Amino acid sequence: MAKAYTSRLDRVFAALSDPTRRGIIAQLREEEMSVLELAESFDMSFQAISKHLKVLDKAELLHRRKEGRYQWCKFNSEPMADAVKWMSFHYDFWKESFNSLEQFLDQLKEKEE
Amino acid sequence: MTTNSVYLTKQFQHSSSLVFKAFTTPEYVMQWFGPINTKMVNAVMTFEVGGTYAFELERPDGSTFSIKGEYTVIEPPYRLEFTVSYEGLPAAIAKPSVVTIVLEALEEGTELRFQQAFTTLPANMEGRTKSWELMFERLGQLEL
Repeated sequence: MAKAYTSRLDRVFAALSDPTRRGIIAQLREEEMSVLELAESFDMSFQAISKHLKVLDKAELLHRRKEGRYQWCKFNSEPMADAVKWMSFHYDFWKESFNSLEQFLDQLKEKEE
Repeated sequence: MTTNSVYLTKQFQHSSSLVFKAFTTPEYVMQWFGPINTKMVNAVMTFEVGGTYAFELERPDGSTFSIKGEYTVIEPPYRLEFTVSYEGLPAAIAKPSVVTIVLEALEEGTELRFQQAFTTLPANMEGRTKSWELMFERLGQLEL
């Protein structure tokens, strides 16, 4: 399980390492868009934008559906939640430790006085 | 400022020497170290530069995980640096992260500044430092 979890994280980080792909995600958070609309909005060829979408798709950051000749994309935030979870683990770990430390220091002070 | 770090700042009403003291013995550390839902069941440490520590923490379901490392800087009562490795976590990282704790005396009390720098990434992520840094940088802006 650990391995599956980290390789998924790996793909998310890789997908987000590119400014265009972060831009795509920012747009798709607002609304579902067709591949053609995305290509126009980023002033890129259909092929170029498709390449980026493929990377996002691999990281499971997209919901894609076909409707007639058009392909539609929507942002899927779930894999990113994994990454956030990983980092909040470390943050919470210390935050909660230091809160306990504060209580412990009150006791320690009493003992010393 | 490196972006692949976790930062925390907290003010205490206690003197820096008292805050520093809480880090120095296993008896003390066992009383406060670890997330709120965990219990430290074992602590071994040699509090000196080059000395190591190993803390074992138990989760509510009885499973355990460990934190191990080495003290690299000890300057009482103002500065403490040590490495951190995790064992038994879902996304353990291969190489240790580095924790720096700086205690600054205030007019009343002490400000603790904490930094945990991740020099390497979760398993299979070596060579992707750039994306890791960007992740830290961007997470806040994406407001998930």
